[in-house]
Amino acid sequence: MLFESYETTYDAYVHIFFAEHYASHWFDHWNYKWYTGFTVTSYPPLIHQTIALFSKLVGFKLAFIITALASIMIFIRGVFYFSSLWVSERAAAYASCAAGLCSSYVEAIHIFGQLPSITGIAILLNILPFIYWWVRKKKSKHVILALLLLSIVTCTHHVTTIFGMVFFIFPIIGLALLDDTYERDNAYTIVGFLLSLKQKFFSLIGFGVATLCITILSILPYWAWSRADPISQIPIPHGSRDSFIEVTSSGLIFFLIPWGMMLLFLPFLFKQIFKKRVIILGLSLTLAFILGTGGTTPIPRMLLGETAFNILTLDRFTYWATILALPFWGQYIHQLIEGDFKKYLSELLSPSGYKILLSLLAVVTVGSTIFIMNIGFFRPFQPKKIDVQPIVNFLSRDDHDKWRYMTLGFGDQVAWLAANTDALSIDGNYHSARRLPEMTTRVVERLENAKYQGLKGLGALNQFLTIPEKYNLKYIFCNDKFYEPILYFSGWNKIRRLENDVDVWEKPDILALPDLLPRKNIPSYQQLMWSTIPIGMVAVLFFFLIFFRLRGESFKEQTVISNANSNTHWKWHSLWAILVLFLFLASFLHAYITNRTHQSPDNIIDAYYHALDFKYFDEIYTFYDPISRPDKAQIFLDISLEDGIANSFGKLNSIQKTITLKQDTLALAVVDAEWVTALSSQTITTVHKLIKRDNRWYLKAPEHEIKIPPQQIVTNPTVNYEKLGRREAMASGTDHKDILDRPDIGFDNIHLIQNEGQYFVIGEIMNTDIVPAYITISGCLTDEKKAPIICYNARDKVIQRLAPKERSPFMIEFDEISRQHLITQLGKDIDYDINPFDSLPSVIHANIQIKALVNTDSPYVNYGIKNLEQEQGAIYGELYNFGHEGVNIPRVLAGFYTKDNKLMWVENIYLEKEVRPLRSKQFVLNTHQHLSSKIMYSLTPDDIKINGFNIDQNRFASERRHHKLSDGFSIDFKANGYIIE
Amino acid sequence: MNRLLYIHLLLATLCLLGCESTQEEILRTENLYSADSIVNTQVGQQSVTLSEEQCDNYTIILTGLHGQITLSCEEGKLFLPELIANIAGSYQLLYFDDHRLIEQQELRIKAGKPEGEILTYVGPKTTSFDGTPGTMLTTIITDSLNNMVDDDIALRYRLLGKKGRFDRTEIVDHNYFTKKIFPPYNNDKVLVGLAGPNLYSLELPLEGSSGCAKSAELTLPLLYPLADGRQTFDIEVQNGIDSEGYKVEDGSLITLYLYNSKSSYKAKYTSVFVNGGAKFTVENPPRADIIDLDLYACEQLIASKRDVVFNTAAIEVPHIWLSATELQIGPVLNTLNQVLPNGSPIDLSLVGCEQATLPFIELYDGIARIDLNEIYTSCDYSELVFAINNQSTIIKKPKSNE
Repeated sequence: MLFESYETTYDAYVHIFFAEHYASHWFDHWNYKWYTGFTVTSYPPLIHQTIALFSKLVGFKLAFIITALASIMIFIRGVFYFSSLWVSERAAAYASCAAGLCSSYVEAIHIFGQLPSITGIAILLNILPFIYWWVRKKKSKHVILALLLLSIVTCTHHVTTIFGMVFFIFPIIGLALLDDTYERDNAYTIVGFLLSLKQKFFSLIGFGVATLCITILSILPYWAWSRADPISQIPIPHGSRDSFIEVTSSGLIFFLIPWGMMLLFLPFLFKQIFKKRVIILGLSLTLAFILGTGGTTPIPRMLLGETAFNILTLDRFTYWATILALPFWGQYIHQLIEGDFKKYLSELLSPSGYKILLSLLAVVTVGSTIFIMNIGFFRPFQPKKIDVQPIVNFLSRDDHDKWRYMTLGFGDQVAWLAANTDALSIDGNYHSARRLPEMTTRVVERLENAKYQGLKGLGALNQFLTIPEKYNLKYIFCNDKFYEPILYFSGWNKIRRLENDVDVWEKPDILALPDLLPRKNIPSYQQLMWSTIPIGMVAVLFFFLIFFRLRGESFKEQTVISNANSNTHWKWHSLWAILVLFLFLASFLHAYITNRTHQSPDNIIDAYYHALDFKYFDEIYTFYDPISRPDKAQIFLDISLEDGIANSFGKLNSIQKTITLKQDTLALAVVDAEWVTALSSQTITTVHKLIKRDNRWYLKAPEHEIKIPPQQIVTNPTVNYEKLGRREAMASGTDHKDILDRPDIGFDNIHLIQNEGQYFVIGEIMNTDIVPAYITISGCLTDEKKAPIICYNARDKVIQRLAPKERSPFMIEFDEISRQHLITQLGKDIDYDINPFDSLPSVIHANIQIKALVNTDSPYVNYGIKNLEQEQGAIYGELYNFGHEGVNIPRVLAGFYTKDNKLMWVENIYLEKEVRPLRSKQFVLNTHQHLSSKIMYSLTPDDIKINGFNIDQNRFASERRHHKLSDGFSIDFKANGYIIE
Repeated sequence: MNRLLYIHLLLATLCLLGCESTQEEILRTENLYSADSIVNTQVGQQSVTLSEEQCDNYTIILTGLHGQITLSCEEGKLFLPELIANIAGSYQLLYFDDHRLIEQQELRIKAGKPEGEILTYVGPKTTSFDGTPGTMLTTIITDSLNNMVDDDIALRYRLLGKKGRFDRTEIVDHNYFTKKIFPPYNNDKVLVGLAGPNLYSLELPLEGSSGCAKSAELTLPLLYPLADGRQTFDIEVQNGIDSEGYKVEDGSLITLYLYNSKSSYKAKYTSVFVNGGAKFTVENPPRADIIDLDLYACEQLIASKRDVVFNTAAIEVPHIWLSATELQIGPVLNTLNQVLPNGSPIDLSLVGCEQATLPFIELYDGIARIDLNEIYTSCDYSELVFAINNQSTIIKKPKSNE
């Protein structure tokens, strides 16, 4: 904790974010910073308020550490007292020592960062002895203390109270009743148990009711919120619901790691918990154990029901099971170090052999704990640490915080950024508070990591990028190159790179947030309760403890547990431990041997593409044939010149490999690698030659482009623009003076078309002004009365940055927004093979609005489209770059026209590789999509608004020059591309 | 005793659950104000008058700007903080009784009299005269506190340009005035000034740009007429002028089409005018051809060049066998005895085995080598055909015992 390992956890920053809210607005329940605002009464506040209080003295990060350390100490104390109820004090002492090394607990802190959850369980464990003693001794001080502490648990983590009743409190009450029975009858019998229950029935009912009241009253605003605004979201897939056999990575994270070394003692555990005294705990533990196995068996789904199974994250059950097992883990260790197990092993292995074994076990236990604490180092869960200060500074100056922002590729550090800035983000990191249909109806955890959610994730992100004006989204901070293509081609401009290497992207022409934002108020008494009760309960607790201490009273009662384990079958337990260790080592060795990189052509291809995906270029070099490969520097140089959408901005999704030839020392493989990019997925087919040398397979190094242009220098005159406006140096801004006139835009050929059951608005625009223009095109499908049905913007099928007198075709694709429309109506996600237009009202007309702004970046236009040839339903051509800059992601935009020059379809092609100056790259365009297009309606000037006006004069005339196709249609190409500055 | 306590706690909980209500349920339709549903006032007024009942019985919260503000109200006077009093607009007054919203009322603060500088803006330069609709002039008229005014105003605007002076008065009936005024002529400058009661404007030049290019000169300074698909030649555009003879604006896009059939282009290139000229660097075609060039601006033809001839580049494709399976193609020379450029592709085909997967071969220093072992095919073939720029050579495959 002191090494700040929490910074790489999933949730730590979220809790710091909440803490910042309380530190700034203790008495305000509404937080504007995430989504479009949410109430903090959706999460119990005590931990956040505690951090907020400490933060006033030591800052948020140290406050978090102090709170976590306090929580750990409370937990270790709690484990001791909880264990003392089940096992001897000596064994309980071992249990409390082992608690700090308990894998699931370490995982909860160092991987998940679940401070409220671990604090909740820590306090709950401390409560349990008071409940036990109250049931047995009937002293009111115990029940008062227990209830006080329960309210604090509820204010810390209400789920712990709710499930703690089942898994912790019921077994403790059962234990107390059983011990009563034993004390009375000197035996554990059902009749005796029922008699004890009858004697204490009303007390227990009273306790239950009081617990219920405490639970409700402590966080009443939470219950009110959950009733008034229930969570209705598509369940987000979670690895804890996987079958751990099928998805071994989930099995590792959610079963093997949490149980860790405890796997060695499972037979001992189950033997101990199925004894009469412990039977109720045994049932709870077994239930938690089974539920924690997720989708490995159908039992958890049957027990929880379909809805709960899909909403709950089931790893928490494993976590509770391991905590419940701790007393017996202590007992096991006690036996191993001081008891019969020690005797058995000493006799079996000799005393020195036993000591070596014990040392080994200690090393493995501590080692596994250290491994879990640092697992993020071996397999990073988060992007590298980002210094958020430059972003905070950017947002706070020049009124940038008057718009919403979004982050991409920040991981859980979004919460740390949010905690440090007053600006508002459309995204967030608290799923329960999401209420935007674009997010709640998708399996998208958050937008900033949309790429990990595949097509659906990118679909949700697309909507925010395409119509950012809907949520006043103007700035995006991008820390992942993957998203750059979609940002650029959706019309976002990269305006600068900050000191922390995060790129700032801006969308022009977005309205600022209104001065007053909507919020949902809660009654003032609830607001007051939320702000005062949690911390008030802690204060009351302290007063209560001091009061009783001053009276000289103690809360502790003696519990005598005898745990003779003379009958334990140590031989079988040893064999089990050996079996587990053997299985672990065998699987490890098997995985190592079968996955050795140079073992087979398959393996080296897999390893090569993995390395290519993660850009491990040093590793890639070792895969090449050592005899024929060029120098490392040459290979790296060649790779550096092979920029492109897949190479630099793609994520490998899958590879399909076919070994077409395999001889003793030679093989040939055809690999279809599917690279997912933010814009589309691209399948790149490569033929690899493989050579076997010294029993190791290698790849033949690829050949790179050898063409050198004839010219040695390129000259290219450009025009630079600077927007002077009438800016005055005034702190309060210059009102309207600085605004430039919108460039004039011409239009032509605008139609509503239908293609394969879907609707599109297509057309042509031309920047008729003398300055470069930035274009936004919005369109609506309308019904017979011209009332809008759905509206969307042209995304990437348009050139948004037009040079003066430049023309571009455009297409507004409504499939994503109509899908969203239907999903929102249905309240559930739909498959991609369903046509959402079928459920829309009849689309009869359409309208569009074209807005333009002066764009001072001179568009790069030095492109040529050449060598056009049509062959078998496709047209082949080359994009040629005769300018002075390399085009990192070249794009060709093609418009298909009828014989009478009516635009019927617009298609996009993103070229695979960068085009350097005076070089060209081939492209292929399938020419069949336009054949199914049908013009449904040609838009009239009344349907077209340009910069807010209906101006018929803006229709431009054109002497058409197209490339003719064999089917009678013709095609016109436009080229542009993303150039990394 | 304990049991009684528990029963009380249970009842209290049930009561709390039952008594809880949402805000929507509480909102009543009671009409607090008897006559006016809107409270009107002018900017700069520090208070407005309400009824004493409104003042005394309710907490009044104002919303509409920077969150919510609780206002003080005494003896029928509702006091407005300076921030609100100086900003014209529409606000909401919310009347609360013991934290329950009872009613809402609109507070309208009207702007003062127009005064001071008129904020006017137009484009940085105007659009051209020919065919375009004019220049948007936008004027914002404010009071002394920078609030946009609502009243009708007689606004005079005056233009001075090539055609002389022009005065006109418009009645502005909303708080900003937009007008498409006639544009200046090509390369003309018009000065605009606006005035009204207590109003004046700063100088405002409207500059007329030149229009779309109507003509230009197209020249090919030095042509390297070999169809090798690699060499380039420059096409220069000069004297790009509009219909009135003015030089075309910098940055305007022009498109060059290359074609050998009038109806369909084979290639197109784009560039921009700079100082009336532009340059295209065009790659030679890969096959011998006669091409025509058309230059377009604003989607209209402005210049042409006909019959540019490109001849076959390679004169022959020599070869030698380096071993039984390794073949060297080249050195391949052009008509000027230069080796063909690196990366020039060689088309390889097998006679009698058209479906074979063949390696991609390019020239490097005029030479390419091929190992026949790298040709993986299930069918048999006897001859290989190598072609560069239409110039091909047929090579017999050596027999296995050769």
